Parts: sequence; C-alpha cells; structure tokens
Amino acid sequence: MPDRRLWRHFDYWLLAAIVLLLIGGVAMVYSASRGDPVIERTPTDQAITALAGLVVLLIIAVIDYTLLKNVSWALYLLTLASLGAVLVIGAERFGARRWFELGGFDIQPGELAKLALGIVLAQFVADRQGRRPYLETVFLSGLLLAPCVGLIMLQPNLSTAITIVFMWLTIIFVGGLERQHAVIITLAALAMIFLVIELGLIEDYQVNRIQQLLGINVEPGETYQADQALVALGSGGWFGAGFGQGQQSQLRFLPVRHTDFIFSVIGEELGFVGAMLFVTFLAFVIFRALRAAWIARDTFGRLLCVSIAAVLFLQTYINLGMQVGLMPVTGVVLPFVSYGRSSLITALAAIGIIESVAMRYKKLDF
Amino acid sequence: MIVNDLPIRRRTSQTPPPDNQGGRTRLLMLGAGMLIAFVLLSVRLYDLQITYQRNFEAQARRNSLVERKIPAPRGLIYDRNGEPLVRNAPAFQVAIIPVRQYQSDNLIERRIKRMEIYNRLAQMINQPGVTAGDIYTRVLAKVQQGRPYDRVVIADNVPRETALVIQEQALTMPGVVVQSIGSRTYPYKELLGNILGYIGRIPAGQETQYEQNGYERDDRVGLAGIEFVAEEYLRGTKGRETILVDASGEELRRQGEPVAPQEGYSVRLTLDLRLQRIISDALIPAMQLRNAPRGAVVALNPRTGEVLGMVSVPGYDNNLFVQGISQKQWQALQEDLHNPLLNHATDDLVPPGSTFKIVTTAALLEEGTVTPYTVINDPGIFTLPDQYDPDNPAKGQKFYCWIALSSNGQHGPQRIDDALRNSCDTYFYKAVGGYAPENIAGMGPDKLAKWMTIFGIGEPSKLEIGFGRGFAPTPAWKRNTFGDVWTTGDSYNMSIGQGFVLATPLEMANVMASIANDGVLMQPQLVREVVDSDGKVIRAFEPKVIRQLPISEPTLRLIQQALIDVVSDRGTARASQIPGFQYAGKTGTAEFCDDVAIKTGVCYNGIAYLPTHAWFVAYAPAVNPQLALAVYVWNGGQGSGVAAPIAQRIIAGYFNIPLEKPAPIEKSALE
Repeated sequence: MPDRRLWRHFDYWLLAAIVLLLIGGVAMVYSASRGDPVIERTPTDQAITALAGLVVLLIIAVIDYTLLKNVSWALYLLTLASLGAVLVIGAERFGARRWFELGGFDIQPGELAKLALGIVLAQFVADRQGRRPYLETVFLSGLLLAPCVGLIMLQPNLSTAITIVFMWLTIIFVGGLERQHAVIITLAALAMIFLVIELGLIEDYQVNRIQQLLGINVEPGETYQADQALVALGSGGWFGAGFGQGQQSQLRFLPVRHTDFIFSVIGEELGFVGAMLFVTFLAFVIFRALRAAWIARDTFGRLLCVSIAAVLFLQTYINLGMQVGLMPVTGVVLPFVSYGRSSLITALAAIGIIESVAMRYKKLDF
Repeated sequence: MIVNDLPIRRRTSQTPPPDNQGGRTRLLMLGAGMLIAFVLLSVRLYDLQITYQRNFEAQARRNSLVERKIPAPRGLIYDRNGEPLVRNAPAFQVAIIPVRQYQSDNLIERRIKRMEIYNRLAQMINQPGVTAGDIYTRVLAKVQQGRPYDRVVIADNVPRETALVIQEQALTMPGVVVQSIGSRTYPYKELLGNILGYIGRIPAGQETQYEQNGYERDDRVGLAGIEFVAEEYLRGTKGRETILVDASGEELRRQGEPVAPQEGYSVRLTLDLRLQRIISDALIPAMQLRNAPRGAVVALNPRTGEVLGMVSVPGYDNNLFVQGISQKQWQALQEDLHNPLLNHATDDLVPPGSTFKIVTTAALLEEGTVTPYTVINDPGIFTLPDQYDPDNPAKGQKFYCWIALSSNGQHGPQRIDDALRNSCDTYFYKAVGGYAPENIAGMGPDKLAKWMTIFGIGEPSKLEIGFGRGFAPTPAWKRNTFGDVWTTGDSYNMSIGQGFVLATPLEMANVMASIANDGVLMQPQLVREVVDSDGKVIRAFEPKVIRQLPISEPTLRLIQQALIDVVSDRGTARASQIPGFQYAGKTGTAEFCDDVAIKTGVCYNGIAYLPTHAWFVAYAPAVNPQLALAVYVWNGGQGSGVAAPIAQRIIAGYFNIPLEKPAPIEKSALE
C-alpha cells in the first residue's frame, strides 16, 4: 500500500470530470442503442469497461511513472512487432487491417502505439534535454517514429498516423523547440504532406472524404453519414429533444450513433447546453492534463503528460469536428464517451499516468 | 502559481526540467492554442444548433415523417333500379422496396443475388413487360430518384394464386412485397362494356396532369365510359395519415389523428338492366342468324330522354382492361374493322333509310309543301327527265320505289299518311325533289336539312358518352366539298334518308321519342343521379328539354297515326305486330357502300343490289308511350324482315307480353 500522503496530490477534479463523462457516456450509449437488438448490450458493456478502466486508472496512478522509463524500449519493440503482425494476421474489416481478434475482444495495436510511443518519445526527448543542437533530437525522434507511422499507414489508418505525428510535434514543441526550428519543421511537414499525397500513400477513400468535407466531387448519397449527423446535431436547439427522444437517433437515421457519432446523439437529445457540457468536461480533462505537465517534477513527466494531452485533444477534436462538419469523416471515437472497450481502457490508463505524474509533483519532505 | 512553485522546486532533489521556464511558456502556448480550437468548435456548434436549428429540424422531420394517403373505395355504378353493375374487388400487385433488397458488401455478389430474385419473380409473374431487366430498370429508376424506401410496383393484376405463391416465398426474396389495391370487376362484361368503360393506370404522358388533381402515380382512374365521365364523383377523397418511419423505412406508428378516406359517390344510371338483357337477347341471335357483324339498339324513355337500354355489338369485355389486356387481345380489338371499342349505338354514322321519312313528313307538312290531302302518284318506276334536255326520255334517269324492286308493284296514288305508312319512296322523291312533268315544285333540300337539325340530327351529342353526330347535307355543302352541283337526284335520295344523309341510332331513337312525346325533343341522358354511401342524393340529373318541335298538333297526330298503322295489317311491319298491344314504328332498309363494306367485301364495284342496313324505330305503347326504340343491324337486310322482329321481341319483353309466335327473322337473301 503506497503512502497515504501520496493521495494528497491526487487530482480529484480530474477524476470527477472523468467519472461524470463516463456516466454521461454510458447514458448516451444507452439512449443510442435502445431498441436495436444488434447493439443492445453496449451500455452494459460500456459501464463494466468503465469500472474496469477506473481500477486500471487507480492502479497506474499508484505506480510511479518514472518506472515506465525502464520498460520504454521494450514497449517500443512491442509496438513495432504488433504493428507489423497486425498487417499479416490481423482481421480485415472495411478494407483495413487494424485489429487483433482475441476471443471476442478486439485489440487495436494502433491504440497501444499512441500510448507506447508517447512514453518512448517523452523519454527520448527528456533524456536528451540540454543537448545541442535540438534539431538533432527532433530528427532522431522522428526516425524512431517513422517505422511505426509507416506501418500504421499500411493498415491503412490515416487518423491514427496523424494523431501520432501530432503527438510527436507537440512533444518536440514543448520539449524545447525554438522559433527558427519551428519554421524548418513547418516546411518539412508541408513537404511530407505533399510527398504523401503525391506518392499515393494516401488512399483514394481518404482523399474522397476530404473532398466531401470541402464539397468537391460529391456524389449524391455519399455524404449520407455526415449529413445525417448534422441533421441530428442541428435539430437539437438549446435543450434538445430530451433524453431518448431524438428522432434521428432513435429512428436510426444516425449511423454508428453509439460510437463515432455519439456526440450527435448528445446534441440532438440534450441540445446545445448538453453538448457544451460534454465539450467543457472534455476540455477540462485536457487542461488538467496540461496542468499536470505544468507541475511535473521532471521533463519526462511533463512530456508524458503533454503527449497524452495532445492525443486526447486531437481525438476529441477530430471526432467533434467530424460531427460539426469541420473535419472529414474518420473512425475516431470520442474519448471517455463513445462506446468502445479497448479505446476506453487505453484512455483511462492514460489518465492514470497523468494522475501518477500529478501525485508526485512534489518530493515529500518528511 | 508560478510564485508558489518556485520554492518547491528548489527543495527537489530530482533534476528539474533544465529549460523549465521555456517549457512552461510553450505549454502556455499549447494550452492557448487548444483553448482557441475549443472556442471555435463551440461557435460552430452554436451556429448549427441555434442559428440553423429550424432547417435541420425540418430535415429531421422529412426524414422520419411520411405522409401517406389512405385510398378511398371507389363509388359503385347502379342501374335505375339499384342493381349494382360493377364490383369492387382487390387486385394484387407485386412490388419491391429497394432498400430491403439483398445486401452485401460485395457488389458483384449483391448484383447477382438480386438478378436471381428478379428472374424468379419474372418467371412466376409471367406477364409481358415483366422481365428481370424490366424489374432492374424500374428499381434503379426509383433509387436514382433518391427514394429507395418507396415501393416500386413491378407487376399489376397478378392472379390471386400467383400472388399467394410469391407471398409465401417472400422470405427468400428480400425486398419483395405483395400488396392489394382497390380494383373493379364487371360482371356483365360485353353487355355493359361499352357503357361502363373501365378503370386503369394513369395513361403515360398524363401523369402530371392527374397529379395536379390530387392523384398519385399508381392510382387507378376511369379511362372510358361512365367510369371516365363520372370519375370526379366515383373517385372519392383519399384519407391521410402521417407515419413515423425509421431509417430502414419500417413504419413504426401513426402520428396524430388520421384523416379518414371518404368513399366515392355512387352513380345511378338511367339504364334498366332487365331491358338491357332483353335487348341483348333479341339482338344478338337475330344478328347471328343474319350473319351480321355489327348492330345496335337504343331504348329511350320518350318522356324524359333517359336511356333505358343501349346495346352495341360487337362489344368488349371491360374486365380485360382492368386485369391487364394481353398484346394479342389488344391487337384483335384494334384490328377488328367493326371496332368493338366503339359504341355503335352512339357513334355509328350511317344512312337511316326510310326511318328518316318521319323527318321528311314533318318537314313537308310544316313547310306547307303538301297538305294531308295532296295526292302524288307512285307508278313504281318513273323517269326523271334530264335537266337540260327534258324532252329526250333517253337522257332521263329512272327512279324506283322499293315496291317495284321487291315485287314489281306500285303504290299508286298516295296521300302523305299513306306514303309514310307504306314507306312510298316516290311520294317523298317528288315532294322533296320536285317533278316537273306533274308540276310538283318540291320543297328542296335546304328546308329538309333544317328539319333534320330541328329533330336533333347532326347536333353535337350531349349524352354523357359518345360523340357521334349525324349529318344534314345541303347544296352549299356539296358545292364547297366536291365542287359539284346538287341534283334533283340528290334531293330524291335525301328525302328517303339515303345519299349524303347520315344519322346515329341514338339520334333516330330520339326522333321517334320526340314524336312519341308529342313534339318535345328531350336530351338523352345516361346518368340519373349521384348518391353517397348512405343513399342520399348528392346530385340529380333532371330531364332536360332540347326544344319544343315546331310541329302543329294535326301534323303530329297524322304522323303518330301513320306510324301506328305501320305496325298494323296495312303497314310494312305488319309481321311484327304484338297481338293485343298497339305500338308505333317505322321500318328502314338503308343501302350503303362505305369503306368497311368495301374492305369486308360486302360491297364492291358493279354489285347488282347494294347491301342494306336493317332499321326499325318504334315507340310503345301507341297511347301514352313509355319506350322509344331504334334498332339498327349493319348489313342486316330488310328493316321489316329483320329489325322490326327484333323490336317486337324487345317491346314484348319489356312490357311482359308473351309472344306466342314471334315474327320470323328473315334469313339472309344469299341463303
């Protein structure tokens, strides 16, 4: 049993926000799946997963995050291996190989990669603190990242790849980027995006979705999902149709409403006020992660928190952006709210790491 | 916070982040960036949910609320005694709901599976125009309209047994549904086919027009006969209900109160089904005996103009059109020169022959050309001198009274009542066309044409169905049309209802009715009243007077008496008397040689005796008439030998008089 005093710095605000989001999420998954036999079990599943995830959160919080340094290289190799393996033996769905099927439980190596690479990169950049030139750190960390991103693109899974690159950029930004570096990296990033598109590394459907968002080359019916989501969300008004009363959601016009499009259900049934409540709590969680970074006792802890904040932010933003028509349609779920067992466990584990950093920000001096 | 932090850091034994200060600045920048992103998102959310809420709400409603019409039962059609003439019966349709069809992510597999189902359906339905390809095209069209939840009707009028089989197998054919719609059956088939007409799908090209009047594309509408003309009464008013549907098109529940459909009004005809049968039973066997291909009978109530019976042969079974007529059947109807689709009672324009002498008689007396006592001699055969060379008998034209042709006889001196009774052609020739050798000036064709119009011949038909109108020729018309001079011979022909004179059976029946009605010409009518489902009269069609004929009482009595005498021992229809029952009539035997006659070989160039239509017009009883009749048999031979006996049977039947010895139908001259 760890020192009871350790809990003095446990971020209860963060935990409270997480618990509320989980409760809200389970409620909305319940509303979204009502009367549909195919997904009837999802709210119960989600609730059980949430409870299990909270236990995981607490266990990880108790463990000193600095211990992660010892396993980071092992994590890196595991990530590479699983990303490679999934391409060969993973289950193919909707034209992509992203999953291991383990006895009815899906595992996405991509999800694991986000967390693992966050740890690896945080440690790598933290260990090289003060070394000059910083660009060397940037370059070498990029090299570490490249094979993983490449394998993820092969699945293909563009959104995960983008999330990881974004996470890396955030780490190197906070880790010591100076103004002149920023210019070089921006240029390099643009060149890379250009290359990716020109070399055809990006799949047709991905180009298509971006075009759909911009309203280019749209065939009728193609934007059905996004349109239905907009209709659901937009018809919410201030207070929505009421829990369980949204026509778009209840009459199943809304696709994958218990996972990717859960926010549209929230918007339709709870209105702008309800939707903003969820947005606020999500933002609050992300800012609590940044707070942990702020008070972290060492660079590793700080960058760890920054990597998690970056991933949570980007996932939240891609998911919400997709539903308000600011982002293309991708399979990114809303952290803590959307139904999804492995993503929920991963997200709660990440919060556990944040707590671990926050709890230890101060050396106990007695 | 930063101030608070500093001492803590100093006490730490761990390595603090070396560029702590810079790192925190960048953290702040990162946080600020994220905050801005969240604010932007919130603004967008506000825009969607608050600013444009109405638009999205309307879209959501369009998604899930479907307004559906509830079909209204079509009104029925009854005869004058309340006997139903049509029946409402469901017809079965096979439809496909595109979104419910076989689904697979594998497009090729999906296509193959669906085509398999289309093939099976086409085989089971086995109708022309329902092949797998046809089904595919129709389903695709609906999907391209963006209405994949709507039912696509792929086959109509599917027989009940087939419908049941398809229904049973529907589980293995996803998306296929069998539905029933209101339709009609016509139990009396040919007997009433021409009058009732039929209902069917909205004709191609008229969809928009019908839709503007509140119809839907798959509705059945009246397309011919009473079904067509009374459509606005029969159709009823559809009900409406709003149905909540889910994304798969599943109907969940009704929203709000439905508007109940209003059953169509029923139409009560003036027709007497019993008389209709009597007519048919008299006409058709007689025609078969004569091998006559075409004929018609019209029976009117002379007091009201109501059509009590109207039979047209050949007719058609109107059920064919409702149940889906085959290409072969359609072609047969189209190619029949005696057009079964035409109502011959209203639309045949033919020479009325001697029945027309009623009109001529009235004209001659009322114009003062002759008096009841004027005597004109009929020598049987006489010569009309040539107009320009009157003294040369060789150039003259010979005219025959029918009696000279049939029995080498002659009528001798005739007064007009004798002439009408005996149907003496010569009297009318000379009185209308003039005859110089006997100093008879003649009334002339223009006055006769005027009298035709007075009697309603050639006026636009005002009956609910049929458009036929006869023709009253004049010298001016002949000059304008043929650039030719009207001759005395033309006047002669016209006087006996030949030559250029044309009339419809309905018109001739109405001429007779006006005589029976003491000179009041009534508007013929088929629809008596419109009633609602409780029997309440919505609209009654009162008898309408066309005109009071300008005929004096003595003239009227003279004509009536002469027509009564026609059906007496002294008249041309003496064989068709009904013992103990007096009625009036006029025979007619009208020579013709029209296109159909030539095409069917009935008439040809150089034929010795022209073919004739058999005519008989009648009213009965002689006093206080209740029935006026025109019988017309195309190429039927003699009026007296064929048409009059038919009329005799009809009249006896209608007035329930047993006929011990019905007048024999004269067999064909060729036999």
